[in-house]
Amino acid sequence: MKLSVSGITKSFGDKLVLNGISFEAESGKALGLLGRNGAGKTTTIRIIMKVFSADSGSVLLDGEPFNPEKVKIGYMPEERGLYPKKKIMDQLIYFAKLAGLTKQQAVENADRLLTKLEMKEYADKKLDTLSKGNQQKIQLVATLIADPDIVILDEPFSGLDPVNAMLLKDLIKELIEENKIVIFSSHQMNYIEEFCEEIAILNGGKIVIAGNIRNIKKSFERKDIEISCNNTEKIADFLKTVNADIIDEIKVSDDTVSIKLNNADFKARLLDSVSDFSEDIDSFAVKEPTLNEIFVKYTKEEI
Amino acid sequence: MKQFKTIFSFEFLGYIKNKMFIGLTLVVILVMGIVLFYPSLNGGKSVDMGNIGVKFAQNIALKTETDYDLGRLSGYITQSIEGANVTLSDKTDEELKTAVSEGEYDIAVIITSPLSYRYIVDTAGLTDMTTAVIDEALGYEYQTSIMLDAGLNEEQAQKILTATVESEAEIISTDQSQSFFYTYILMFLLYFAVLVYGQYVAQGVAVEKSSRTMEMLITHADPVSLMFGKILGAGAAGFTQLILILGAAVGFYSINKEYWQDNMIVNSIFDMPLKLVAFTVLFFSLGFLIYSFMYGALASLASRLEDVSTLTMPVTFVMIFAFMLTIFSMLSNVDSPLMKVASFFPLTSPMAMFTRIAMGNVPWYQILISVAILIASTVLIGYLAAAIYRIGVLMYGKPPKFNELSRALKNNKVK
Repeated sequence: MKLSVSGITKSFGDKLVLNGISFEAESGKALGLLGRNGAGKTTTIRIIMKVFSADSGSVLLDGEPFNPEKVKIGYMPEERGLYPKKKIMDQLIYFAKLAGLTKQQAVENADRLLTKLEMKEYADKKLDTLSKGNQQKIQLVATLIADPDIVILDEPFSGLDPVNAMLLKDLIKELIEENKIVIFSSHQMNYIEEFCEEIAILNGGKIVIAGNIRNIKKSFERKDIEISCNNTEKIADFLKTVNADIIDEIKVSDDTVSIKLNNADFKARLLDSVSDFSEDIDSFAVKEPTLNEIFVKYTKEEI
Repeated sequence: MKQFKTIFSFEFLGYIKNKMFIGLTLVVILVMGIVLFYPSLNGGKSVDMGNIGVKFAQNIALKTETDYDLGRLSGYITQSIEGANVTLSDKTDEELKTAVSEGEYDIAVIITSPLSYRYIVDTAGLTDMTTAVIDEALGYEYQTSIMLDAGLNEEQAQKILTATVESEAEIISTDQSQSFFYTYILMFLLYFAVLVYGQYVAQGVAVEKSSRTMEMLITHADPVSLMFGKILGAGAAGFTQLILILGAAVGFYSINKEYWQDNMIVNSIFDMPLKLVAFTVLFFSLGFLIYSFMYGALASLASRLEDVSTLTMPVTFVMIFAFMLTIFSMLSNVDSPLMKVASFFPLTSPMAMFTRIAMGNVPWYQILISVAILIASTVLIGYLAAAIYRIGVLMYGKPPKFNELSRALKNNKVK
């Protein structure tokens, strides 16, 4: 399955919130939908789910107009919430029935997911008696209870301790393996890098960059070099004298030397010089931009 | 439709299974049971509420400062008050005061002229009717003495004074003395049902929103089903409660009917005409719906639970006004011009028109017009409420001002 969002615009009153949003999400892959607070992520997600209608643009699933009544969506909103005073099992069944399951299916799915997340014993408790992390897990169960084909997770890791985060990671990996479309929104870039092959970065109601993370990283000028060795001071001095004309900036720490070249084409020249260096080195690597750096680069300006 | 059913039954069962709901219903039924079974539990004495609470002094001291003849007066009092013990006293006022405060007498009466007296009591009871008896006795005594002076004999005088008039009523439309009590009770029930369940609806909407459950719900169900499911679920729960309580009352009454035969009030309540039961259902349903739509829509604008009562206050005030107007009109004139207007205005008509039907004289075409206006307004307000709700539930922050809301409504016509 392939979910294509193309050219979506939406304004609330006079305010243009989304301005031509386009991206694609495929089953078996996770898409990272990134953006600062207020960039339009939630509005985009709501338009996909037909909570709002877009002013223009389309949402297609395998080329057909997407109909959330036919394809099940599991959505975990960033602002968590379930009924605080109702029994967990009752509300899970309610959500499952709203999504079109029978009561029996609902109970089966709830049991399976609660067991998987080690929450079975809380089934008959009221939600507000649980700790925050456990409430979060229940929220996840509610999101996945109808066995959705499309899963949208907004900041799923916030508030989870490392053990629960591991549980969730495994679950998300399973979802991807089960060939579901997973759309993932987070500010924690390490999680995005861990799960997502594709990203789309939103800023000011526009997609500022979208595509495969590897390709995006490759598209950046690769002129940052990191050399690690024992005697960093010495190699730094050596390179400064030999290659002064190609080096923009050089930073020295205990075990690495970071070099910014003034042109990515000079990498080979730098490597040549390093091979002339008399002492041993541990590694010579072209440093890729981190997702964090990419995110900041594309979103630091006006939102 | 399937979603609506799911939402409706979730909301309905949420009320029905609630311990508070069950407890309250049982307590009310229990209290009614105790009241209605009271006479049979109390050895089968019928309860005549007409005299409950009226009291007479038992130990009465009589004194005069003139040459008034206390003998006949005292005789009259002993005749009127069962078991009264009248003492002719020549104590001073001070001594009498002490005697009353020490409890020797319940009341001390000092006749100052044939038509005036002072009296001393320790506590003037609200339902103490002793002075009324003394008034009557003095008046009777005075009238008798005048008639005797005019040359009539005592027998003639007595005949004149005890003459009574008998009447027989043939009531064509409404006997207000009959309809008053059940109308009063039904108005109270309607008032409470709308306020309590309207507030439940408002709370329910606000909880879903403030707990952000709405963010999840909205992905599975459309807001209109959510709102109507919630309101009708609460309404159905309210009706269930009313039917249980009223059903139990009727049941208890019919078991104990023989004991209540002499009690006009209780009989009048349970002898309510069937036609009015139908009107009760009609006006309860429409009244509940029109108010709940407003409660639901307004509560959807609240981001926090604390905002709910402020936002819904205007609606509550209208409800209180409708209730007050109706209750006060019941005591004076249910067909007053104000009540006539109120019986067509949709927010007051459930109470005002019902009361006029029960206690006044309303031509059938007015009932028809009033119900038609009410139904049309309910549909209109329901439609508006759904539109507000659709926007309100996803709008966080300060509750919007009226013009902001109307702009949003214009921009966001039904998807």
